[in-house]
Amino acid sequence: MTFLNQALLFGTLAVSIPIIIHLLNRRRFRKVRWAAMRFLNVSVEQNQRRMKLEDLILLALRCALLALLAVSLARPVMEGLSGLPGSKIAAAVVIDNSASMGTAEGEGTRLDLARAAAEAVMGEMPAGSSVAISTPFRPDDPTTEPALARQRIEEVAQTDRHADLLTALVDAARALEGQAASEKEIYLLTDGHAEEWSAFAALDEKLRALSAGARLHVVMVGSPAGANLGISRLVPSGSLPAVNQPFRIDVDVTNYGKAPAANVPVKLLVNGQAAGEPWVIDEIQPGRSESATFYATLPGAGSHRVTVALGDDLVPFDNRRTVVVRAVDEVRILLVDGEPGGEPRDAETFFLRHALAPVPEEARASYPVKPTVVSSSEIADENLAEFDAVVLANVADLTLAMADRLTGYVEEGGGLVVFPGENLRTEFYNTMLHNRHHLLPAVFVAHRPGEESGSRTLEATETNPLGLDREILSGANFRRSYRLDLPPGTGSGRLALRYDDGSPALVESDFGLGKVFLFTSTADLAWNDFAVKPGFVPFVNRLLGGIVQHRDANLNIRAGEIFRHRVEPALSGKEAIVSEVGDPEALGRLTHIEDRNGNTGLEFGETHRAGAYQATVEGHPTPIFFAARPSERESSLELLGPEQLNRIADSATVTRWSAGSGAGGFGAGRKGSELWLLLLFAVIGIAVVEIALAQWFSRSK
Amino acid sequence: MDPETKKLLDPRAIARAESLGINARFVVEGYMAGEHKSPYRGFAIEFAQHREYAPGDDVRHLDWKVQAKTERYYIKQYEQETNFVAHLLLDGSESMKYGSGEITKLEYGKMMAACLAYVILHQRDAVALAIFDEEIREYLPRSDNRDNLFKIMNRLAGFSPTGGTQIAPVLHGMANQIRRKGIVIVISDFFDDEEGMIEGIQHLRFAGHEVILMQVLDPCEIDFPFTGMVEFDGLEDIPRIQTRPSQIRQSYLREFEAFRQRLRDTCERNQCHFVGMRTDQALDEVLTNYLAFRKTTVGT
Repeated sequence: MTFLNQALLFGTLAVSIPIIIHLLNRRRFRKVRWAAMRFLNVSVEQNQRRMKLEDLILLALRCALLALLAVSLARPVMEGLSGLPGSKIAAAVVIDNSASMGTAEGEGTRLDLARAAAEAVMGEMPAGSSVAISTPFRPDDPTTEPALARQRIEEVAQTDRHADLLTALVDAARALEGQAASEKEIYLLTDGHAEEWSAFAALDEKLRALSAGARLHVVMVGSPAGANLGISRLVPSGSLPAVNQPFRIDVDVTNYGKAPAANVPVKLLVNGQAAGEPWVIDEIQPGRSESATFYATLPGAGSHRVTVALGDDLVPFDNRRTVVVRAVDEVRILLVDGEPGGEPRDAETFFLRHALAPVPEEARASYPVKPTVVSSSEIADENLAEFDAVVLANVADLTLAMADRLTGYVEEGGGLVVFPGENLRTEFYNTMLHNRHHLLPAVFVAHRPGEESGSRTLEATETNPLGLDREILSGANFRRSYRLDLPPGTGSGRLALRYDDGSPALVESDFGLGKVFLFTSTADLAWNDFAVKPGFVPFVNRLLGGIVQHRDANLNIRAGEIFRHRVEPALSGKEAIVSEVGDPEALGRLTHIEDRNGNTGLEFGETHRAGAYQATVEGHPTPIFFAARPSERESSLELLGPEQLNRIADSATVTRWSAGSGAGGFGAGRKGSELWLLLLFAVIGIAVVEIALAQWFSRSK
Repeated sequence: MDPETKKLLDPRAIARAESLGINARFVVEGYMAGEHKSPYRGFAIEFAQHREYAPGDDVRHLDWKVQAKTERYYIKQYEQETNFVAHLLLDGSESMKYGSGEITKLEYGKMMAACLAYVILHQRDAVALAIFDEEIREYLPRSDNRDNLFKIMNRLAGFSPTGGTQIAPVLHGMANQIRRKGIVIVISDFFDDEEGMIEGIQHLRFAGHEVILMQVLDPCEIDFPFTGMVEFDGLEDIPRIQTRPSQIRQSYLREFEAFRQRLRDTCERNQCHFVGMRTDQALDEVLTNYLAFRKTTVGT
């Protein structure tokens, strides 16, 4: 026999209370000088034995009552008994609501089956048991109210996220800590999706560790799905998203099934409306991805929801994916020319200016990119906030004040592109902009005059963040360049382009809300012929697109990620209602715009579903759109294999649950029963007997 | 008379009892002319017979008219109206010290004795007082002098109990000691050996005395109302008893009532009056009730 509240066993010492009271009563009496002792003697002699016996009986009953009460409060558990009333258990039910649980099963989903299994678990729990209904994304406190637990089961919502079952199990075990119950049980209701169990060894080890303190049940719901086509990638191109300009969208569709998929239609929707004809992929082999390219036209300035959709299948969450793209109708670029030259063509920014607006002179007024050229000395007169990006082309240096202004400008979301040249003073860039302001992600290694680097070409890195065509890049010849030193651990510096000898050509970094590109060669023809090659215009366009899109990068998040968006300080304290776009039943959730770390921003964490969201802010003329993308890992159809299930069965009871499964079985095998209720009844019975006997004994005889 | 002594006389009891008086139920042997019939032929009011003079007779009782007619000397004999002697025997044992209320049994008994003495003396009968426990501790010989009342009351007031109770030898002693038939009034709780006590009463009755048993009891002794744990400490060196009285009440009351009933039966068998008294009863009420009852039973 074990006791759940062992500390209360000290209560058995209360047995001494009636004995002490009995002894004290024998010492505490009224003294009466009495004459008629003779009659008293006779009466006492006649009744003494009976009275002693009665006293002993009452004393024994009172001692037994207190002892049983103390033992009852200590909650003894008798192993080997089962089914006794009052045997409470403590359970933690973890319902996997990751994206794969949305897979269709019969008329419902795997999550529906898991909810039904959780109900069955609830049905097998003795009255008064505590249960915590949690998900991998939301731990829960235990409750002893069955209605509340059932409500929580109903409230478990489908997500489009990948679940960390290990953390969920740890949370479940924590929910059971400190709970006094004859049995502790953890139920993991999952589809056994292999991706959730990818860290199988760690999970198996955790299950074995938890099995020491609780009975584990792994309830496998659902059956393997045969086919799934999913959108595995949806990437807006790095180009500038300009109003009414074709904007490229790259899409990858993956066949996660075991049979080839043929004639797969892929639809594009802009702001919920179909845009053009579906793209049809002829065939996708099992386990392979095929790409599709769309050109979306964004009808006006502002945020647009660009959605790519496949036909329905059993795994719905990856059939649609949305990104939010902000279209711009005007992009102002400040070109700072460090070597204007005598003729326009000699200017350092000549090619840049044309590349930024690659249209005939008469069309430039309507072209969204508006470059403004100033000399190094004139930059101080410009209001940087009016520009989307600043390009320093062969600028020797800046004043200290200008360096400060430039740093602040980028931090607030501006873009900075640096092209070196003969005039560039590396001391200024390295000391002021890198070391002091940490604006530049790399250090220019001092360039020795006359040093030639040899003929080299550009090539994209593996990630190719600018999305440039590799053949176009290889057409340019680079004779000279600065070498860059990327100090390790400096943070955000990433190599975007390199030379064919492996040395860095373009490094990008994020700084505050802005973006910085650091190129190693000139923007004119002094050190290379890139400016006259076909790749230069898209290169410049992608730089610009990178800067503009980076400002809106936070509009596209992973499902489950916290959406953080900076807004005007005037909106501080306002309420915002965030709701899923296109779901008329979705309830808007209230959040507040608050000042954090000196910035005014909107934060929203309830982004468990993929798709577009809109935040309507009081006093803000247009809603703020953002989009969450689902976890690509959840699209896989692979479930745990028999071997893995056998290993899990070593430490847990593995149950398969389907639509036709019976309700029973979860409570079977509980080893012990609590005796407190029986003991409490015994206490009540003894109390009744004691009262009755005390009345009977104390009557006059 | 000091206040303690004076307290023994209950003015209301005296006032009411005085009018009733105490008459001897049986023929008593008085020593002076009084209200009560005496077996002696003497020289009182009512003529009975003549008898021949014998030397030594009081010549004052010679009937000279008969001598003149018969020349023989005859003495006139009359049925003498005489007084009686009431012997008040007050139990002064320690058991009489018990009192749950304002007064103890002994105090109540003293008051009763004082009132009786007053009434008896004022009707010119004689009173003798004996206070006893295991033996007679105080004794005042008979006297019909009213001034003797003060002596009686002083003795009563000055007595303090010290010993246990042995009524039987006292009764036997009194029966042997008293020559003339009188009234023996025993005021006690009678918590003593019953058989000896009965023999003593029978002895007194055999000697021709009228015996009145006045039992003084405390209400607690009759009702036994105690609750909780009580240690009863015997007043006459009887070992203590710790008990819960509520659990033995019925048994006690049964025993106690049986004792009183036996006492009543003994009295009835021996033509004695039994007067039960509770110390919470008004003395005048008890006394006058009894005297009134007694008036109705004189001669029976």
